[in-house]
Amino acid sequence: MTALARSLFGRRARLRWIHLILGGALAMPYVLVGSVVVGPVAGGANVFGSLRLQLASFALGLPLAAVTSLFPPTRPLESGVVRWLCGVEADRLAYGPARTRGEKGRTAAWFTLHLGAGGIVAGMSLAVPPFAGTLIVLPFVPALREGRLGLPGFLHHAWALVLSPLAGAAMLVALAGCAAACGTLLARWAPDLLGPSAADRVAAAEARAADLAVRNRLARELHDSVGHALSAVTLQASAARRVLDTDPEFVREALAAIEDTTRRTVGELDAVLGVLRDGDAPGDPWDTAPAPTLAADLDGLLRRTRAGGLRVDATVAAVATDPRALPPPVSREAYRIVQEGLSNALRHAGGEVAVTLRVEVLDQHLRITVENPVGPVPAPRPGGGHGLRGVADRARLLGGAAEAGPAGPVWRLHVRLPLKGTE
Amino acid sequence: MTHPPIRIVLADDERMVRTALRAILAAEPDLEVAGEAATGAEAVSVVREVRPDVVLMDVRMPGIDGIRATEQILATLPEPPRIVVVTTFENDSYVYDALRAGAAGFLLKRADADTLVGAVRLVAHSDTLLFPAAVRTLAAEHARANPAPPAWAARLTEREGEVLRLMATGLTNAEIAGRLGVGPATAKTHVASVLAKTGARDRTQAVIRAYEAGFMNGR
Repeated sequence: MTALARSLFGRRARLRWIHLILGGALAMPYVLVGSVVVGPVAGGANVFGSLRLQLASFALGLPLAAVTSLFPPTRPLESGVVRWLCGVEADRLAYGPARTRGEKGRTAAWFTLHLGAGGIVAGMSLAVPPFAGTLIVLPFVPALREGRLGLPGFLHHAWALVLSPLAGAAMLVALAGCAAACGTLLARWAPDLLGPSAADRVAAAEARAADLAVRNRLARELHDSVGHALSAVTLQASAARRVLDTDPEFVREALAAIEDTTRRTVGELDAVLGVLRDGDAPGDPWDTAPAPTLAADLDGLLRRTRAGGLRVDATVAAVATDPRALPPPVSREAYRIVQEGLSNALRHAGGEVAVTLRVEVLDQHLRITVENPVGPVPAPRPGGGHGLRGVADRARLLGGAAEAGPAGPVWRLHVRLPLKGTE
Repeated sequence: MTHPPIRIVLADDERMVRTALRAILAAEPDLEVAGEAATGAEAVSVVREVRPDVVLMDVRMPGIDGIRATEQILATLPEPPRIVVVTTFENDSYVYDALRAGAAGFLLKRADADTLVGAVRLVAHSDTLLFPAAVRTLAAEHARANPAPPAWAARLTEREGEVLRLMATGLTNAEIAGRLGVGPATAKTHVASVLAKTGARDRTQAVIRAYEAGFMNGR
């Protein structure tokens, strides 16, 4: 019994009822438009004085509603309402505007259904309670029977008076039952009509997989680069402590190497974590990281690199340091690429040689070239280690390309990043 | 010190790692860094040239990596050095592959200087398993599931099977002898015959093979 009461008047049933009444409210403008047609056709009769004419206006209004619901925003609107009022799980609905014909058709079907069922249930909700209330109190209020309510004649019989409260109560229950049934049906159909289509699901899954792949790659890269750097630093510190008294020159070098490595690693950590964090926001994972940019931070980078002992011969086009000329993602990635190129040169050339850095804009591409004479040992890795792989990944993400390898007497890293189409 | 110094070759593509290892090892009177290499190919040629006792080998190097360098060194030199893989990460399938290829053991780059020096001395002077617990973990995680037991498993006597399991726990010949209640010479014979039957180069490889054959779970 309580289960029946809950299914008729429980929170879920009440919310779904509200959803139906909302549908009725949305149907009103269409009914009014319908009545403008129905009235004159019926010979100028007052449409709202006749249930038949009202239903005719309603029937005429619904196709209109179907047509207007072909506008894309209908789906987000209805999905939002359904999610909150119908108790449908959020992930079974699509919140984007309907794009394809199929999606628009299904959305229109839903909207018409919502307004149709809502209009009927809302009409019943307005009409039934006063009538049922009258029936319930009829035996106890003689004035009602003598009034001008136009009640059917049989209600004056004694048996009718005994039964009328029961009939009134039954009508209220029937109304609630009707609303609950409509609400349940709508909730059941909502995922089919408003839910993501197969194409939506495939697209969403692909986007998720791609995002996950990027994040996994970044996480792996981070794990590797930070792990390697920290191991090397630990080893250097351990060695320095071991030879503290016997080889102060080594200790000095070790401290410098430790400083350099940790600084570089913290930078990498910052950049990658920034991307991973921003990955929560769909769309543009590059947007909010307070990452350094080529436009703002190149001078500082060059200054620090030179202070670290590397001679850098830099030729930088003015446009490359103009924040208005470079799209922010390009500027940020370009900074990282230059940074990686320089630290790579430092790693392999060992600081005794000069590195040439060229940053220019040609054919709508930002071009970064880092060259250093090939050092004696160790030979730079063809195709690259972690750092250079990171450079290639960054370039690819932006639709560009990176090449690294020996070019005559020098080792050259060359990266092209398109300036268009990266926003 | 009655031994001549242990001669070591360092192979790692990162200069920082090589300089640190050199500083730590060279500070010991009984250790001598005889050469360095930055790539796998270089490691092979340097080892051929200086004939060290121990090679500390990075796994991931440009060109020929540490695994292939290990294979080449062990396959081409008549009395090859003991090769210890030096790695950043403990649970690394490359390290496992290097052990399968015949490396005597592995060392973490974050290991402290004493552990490092101790490990070099251990592999140079004895045939005990280096860090048995770590090797076992690695083998248990990376050993391919291989349901068909290899032919050698059937050829091992019961006693030899027991010896192989004890080897996997890192016991020396003398300890195995004590555990089994036999003379050290007998234990040594058993170990030798286990190595011969499993076709393993040394204890590490025998233990790896035991794991791969599912020999360690069975009984």
